[in-house]
Amino acid sequence: MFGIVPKLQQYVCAWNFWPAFMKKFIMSEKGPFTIFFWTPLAKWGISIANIGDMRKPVEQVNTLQQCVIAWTGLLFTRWCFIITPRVYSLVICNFCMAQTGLYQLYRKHQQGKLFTR
Amino acid sequence: MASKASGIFWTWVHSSTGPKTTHFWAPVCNWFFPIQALYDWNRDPAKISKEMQCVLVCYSSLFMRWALRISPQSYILFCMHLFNATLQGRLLIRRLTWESSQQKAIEDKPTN
Repeated sequence: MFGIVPKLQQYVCAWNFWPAFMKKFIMSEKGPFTIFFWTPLAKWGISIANIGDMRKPVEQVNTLQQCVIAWTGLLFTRWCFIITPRVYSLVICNFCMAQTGLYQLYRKHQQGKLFTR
Repeated sequence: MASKASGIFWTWVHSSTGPKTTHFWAPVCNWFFPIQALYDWNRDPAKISKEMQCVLVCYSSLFMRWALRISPQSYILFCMHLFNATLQGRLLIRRLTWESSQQKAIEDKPTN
């Protein structure tokens, strides 16, 4: 918007100690100074947060939220197979998201609290 | 006129990105995130997961930018993530406010 990120990218790329492959990565279209690098990491964050929440008591697990996470994960796993280009890392990310959601729901079901808020 | 409208509708229904395909339902199910946040408007703050709310706010903030940078731009996806970031952020603030009040109650408790 204000051109800050391209300037920062140029500044970081100008450092002398980067090897050639790192400079190529920094300046690439899907590099760390673009949004396309960070969005898959954000999706992985959902799975990681869910894995962290597995230590917490089931009362703190939100049934509806986990249903949405599981359902979105499954549907996007299928969607990633039918779009082009097929990105397998996104398939794995969405699949993991769905699995963590389903496991949280299973935990709640085991304690008979699946339908309690 | 009615037959032309119904023709357009059925053409869309049977199209490769219509409601009979995953191309349609995958973005639609994304809307369940803000709908879930609306349903949990008055959720007990003790039962809100701080980490998950932080992640969902970051996730939607990043995807708001992504929706405008992809080609073609998707304003519907942008709106959905804007709503989600706001509503999940509200739940996060609810939790943080509650934690802060709990901490204050412990500190104010007279020690015998």
